[in-house]
Amino acid sequence: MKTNREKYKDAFKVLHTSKHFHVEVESMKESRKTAFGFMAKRTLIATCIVMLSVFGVTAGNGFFAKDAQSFVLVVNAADDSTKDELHIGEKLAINPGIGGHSIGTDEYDSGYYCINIPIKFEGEHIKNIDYSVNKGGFQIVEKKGKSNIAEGNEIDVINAGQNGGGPGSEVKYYSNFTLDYNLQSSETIWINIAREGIPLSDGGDFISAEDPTIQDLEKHYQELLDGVVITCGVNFDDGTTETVDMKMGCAIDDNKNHKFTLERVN
Amino acid sequence: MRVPIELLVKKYKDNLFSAAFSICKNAQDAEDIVQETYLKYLKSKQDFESEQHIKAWLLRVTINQAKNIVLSFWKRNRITFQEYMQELPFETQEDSQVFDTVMSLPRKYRVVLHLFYFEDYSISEISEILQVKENTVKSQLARGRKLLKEKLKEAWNEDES
Repeated sequence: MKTNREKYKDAFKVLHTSKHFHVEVESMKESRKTAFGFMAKRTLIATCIVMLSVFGVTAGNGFFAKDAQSFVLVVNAADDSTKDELHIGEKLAINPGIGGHSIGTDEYDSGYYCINIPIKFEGEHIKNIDYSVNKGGFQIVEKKGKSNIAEGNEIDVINAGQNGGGPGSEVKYYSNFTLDYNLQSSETIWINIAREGIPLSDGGDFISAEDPTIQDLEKHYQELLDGVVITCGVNFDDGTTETVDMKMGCAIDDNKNHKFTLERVN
Repeated sequence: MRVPIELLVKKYKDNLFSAAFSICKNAQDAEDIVQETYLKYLKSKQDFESEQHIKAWLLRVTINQAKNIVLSFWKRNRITFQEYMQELPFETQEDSQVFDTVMSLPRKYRVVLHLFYFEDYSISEISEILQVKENTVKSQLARGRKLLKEKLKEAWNEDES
């Protein structure tokens, strides 16, 4: 008699990728080379824009003035394919496409999320940045034994999946933390916001719904995010601080695809 | 250590595809997810401890993406799950029944059942891959097994460990 494991394997062994699959994987390497070339150009252009904007502001105040300090808040896509500035009153999509976030319901049918926040502050005379969030906490993924967090309040694990890293990485959770200006890099640190145990009015049925309406989706994401605000304090070398508040949101398009958004409030 | 992408594709593409399919229930989406997973591996600069760690990492990325895609692409033109099932070459009626019943369970149970029965991972290994507590894995596995027994009756044994 077959064991349950044998029964399961016999039932699922019929699943295979299509015969064309290997061709697409081969072409990935080529597209990767192109993408990296493209990224290099984009990075160069973006750097020039940042330098120009910083120079523009400082020049307006007198280029050598001691109090000449400003910053640009930059939002990268999780895959680094786009890079945009986020100004006060503006809203930008983050984590487009798949990857960059996990959301769902747990065994108690309450919601959870873990969303990559691909932001970076660029400017002159910035010493470090304080991060805090009004709900849940931060999931910080770094290489094992190589923490970039100068100081922070560690909290218990938030069971909400993981974004970034792998077996060679280390995951820690913070309610708030400080990150050195020069250590802001998606290659060394992934900053995710995470929360679990979020009450959902539909008890999680949304997840298995076959054809939810746009209104259903908006309601669900609103409940899930529930007024989450990320606050960053940009600390300058002279001891002054400028605070940035970013409200998390979600935009649903006509095809019912969702994109998480960051709206800069101040 | 790093393993050449060609080797990883050859060895694990079907494992990743089954894991993705067991969550998103759509072959096109599952294949997109597997592609994206390998792309993430290519982009990742991570140094892995062993090939088993790479496999676990690939499965984790696949599962996380599959969970997301379930929420992201409802309206894509696609072959329905039932249409796809009719094309699958099951050897016996029982295989088809087990497959259909597993796929009818809530997603949270399917993920754990798949890693346990198909990938032969232990509860603690599943807990690491999914980044959830071992007790959560235990309760989801127990609930999933109970549902399978209720639905499959004689076609599913009283569970062995």
